[in-house]
Amino acid sequence: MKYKSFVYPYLIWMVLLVIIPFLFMALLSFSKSTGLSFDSLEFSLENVKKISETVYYKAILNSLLYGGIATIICLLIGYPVAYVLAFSKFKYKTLALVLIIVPTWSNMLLRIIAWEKLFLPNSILNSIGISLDLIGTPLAVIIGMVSIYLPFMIFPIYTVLEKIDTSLIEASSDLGLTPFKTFLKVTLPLSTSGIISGIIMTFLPSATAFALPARLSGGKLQLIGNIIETQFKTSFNYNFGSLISLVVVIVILIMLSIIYRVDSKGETLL
Amino acid sequence: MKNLIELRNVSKTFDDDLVINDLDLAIRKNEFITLLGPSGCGKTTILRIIGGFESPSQGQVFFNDREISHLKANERNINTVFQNYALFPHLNVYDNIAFGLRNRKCKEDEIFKRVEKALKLVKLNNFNSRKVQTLSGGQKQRVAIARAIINEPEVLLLDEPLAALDLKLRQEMQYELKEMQRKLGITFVFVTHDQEEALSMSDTVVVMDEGVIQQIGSPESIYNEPKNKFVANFIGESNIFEGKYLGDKFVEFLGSKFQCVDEHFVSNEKVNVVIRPEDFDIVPLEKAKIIGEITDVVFRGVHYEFCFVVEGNEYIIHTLENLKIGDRIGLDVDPYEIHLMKWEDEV
Repeated sequence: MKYKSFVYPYLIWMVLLVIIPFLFMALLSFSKSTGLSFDSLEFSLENVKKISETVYYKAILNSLLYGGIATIICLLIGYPVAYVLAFSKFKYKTLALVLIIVPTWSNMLLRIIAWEKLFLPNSILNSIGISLDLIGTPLAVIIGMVSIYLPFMIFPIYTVLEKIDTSLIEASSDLGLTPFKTFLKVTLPLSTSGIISGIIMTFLPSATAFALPARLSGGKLQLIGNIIETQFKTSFNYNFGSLISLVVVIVILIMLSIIYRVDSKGETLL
Repeated sequence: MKNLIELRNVSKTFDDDLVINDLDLAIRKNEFITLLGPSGCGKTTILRIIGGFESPSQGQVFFNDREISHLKANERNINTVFQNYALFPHLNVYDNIAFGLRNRKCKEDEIFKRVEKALKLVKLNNFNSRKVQTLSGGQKQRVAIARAIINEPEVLLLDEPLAALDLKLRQEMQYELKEMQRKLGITFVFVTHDQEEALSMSDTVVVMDEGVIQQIGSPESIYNEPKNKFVANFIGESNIFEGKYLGDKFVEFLGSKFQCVDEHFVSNEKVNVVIRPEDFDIVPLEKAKIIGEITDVVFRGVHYEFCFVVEGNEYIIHTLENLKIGDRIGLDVDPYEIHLMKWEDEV
């Protein structure tokens, strides 16, 4: 290959900033150390035991619960939106797609803070007679997650639906199936790869979010991301922080391998 | 015989573009009818209107004397073989073919029997569990046919089903389709732009251009008695001469008087004379009515194709004789090889 040498800078980058830190994390996870000093490093399984303590165990469950609910709602809203966009002869289709994608270009933290301000009892909405007072409720967190991660559900599904040959839909109708049955027997099975990608692409970031639950729950809700943040920034327990991070990384890798299996060409990814 | 499908005054417009222009068509039971025409002539639109994928902008469609214009595709007892086959990629061969039956709540053992029978008919035994992606074009074609006929429709619509196959396979499939139609005894409505395909398979050929039917008839009548220049040129090759009907079965063209068999013209009426390239007889110069010079030769396998020039105009003849460029030849034409058409001004 002529351009083989262009791969090296990328390779060095990956090794320095991904592989080596990852190995450090793995090392820290199964050991005891003082801060980041390696002088007093010794092997230990203390962290593994710690993970079963109620606080952490609960955080993991909460992550699954909130991530799961947000994902289901995203799927219920996202699939119909993607379906309409893919099959309608709507004139402003491109505009609609752009409107869905534009928010993802703005800073996520800004959008979270925007929701936070709206959810406070005293917000700009008072001027039209509305006081939401949602901060600290599960609803606030779920609304935040759905609004931020919905595009990641819509796009993979839209991409697969858009590629479905309309003659397949016609063939199904030709063979006697009603539009609803055609959806169940043809459209839905042909869009499973998009659905799986969409589920993973919304579940992963919402289950591992930390700024979003922290701000919209008023500090009440702890997800796995918040635990990691606390371990590194407040408790300075790098060992335990690393272990939880390692668990998250492994979960992410498993999910990405699922995407790779259902969609080896990466067609459903943005 | 009774009409199975009838289109009455059907028009179709797409975005102000008139694709079908006030068209009437009757299709009889057990007929192999072919819609033939260049791309964009509206033949596929007609098929889609019959299939229920498009609704006519104007006019009505009847099926067994019952109006079906408003019925959706899934409510019609008509099945289609699509141009790109439209096999379901998430199902294997067996499930593709069983698709329609499963929807009708057939028992699995009944489905199994019928799928086996359909596979046998299209000569794809033991293909049950094959993925459709692993099939060749010809095999996909057969699966598409099996998937359609297993539902025992009264009409099978075929939209250029052979277009993607290579020549040899296409000819083979032509015979097989014709054979299948005879065996099954169902009406085939076939769409193609290939005139040879249309002539060799059909009972009736419908020649279309610009959303209008130009001529309907048996393959022989379409070929031998084209109604206008479009049909004469589209079906096979034609030499068209300007001529004058002299009355009493005589016609004059290229300065000579010929005997002919057509007589539905008035004396001294201007006519177009059609002579097929293979219908000229080469005769000694002194007996010839037409004398021309050979300007080009193409070897076509079974015959030679020659360009010959008479009075500055080029014409084509097909013959087995080997002539050379520059040869002066004399031609004559038998009366029954001369076909007269109503005069059309050049567009």
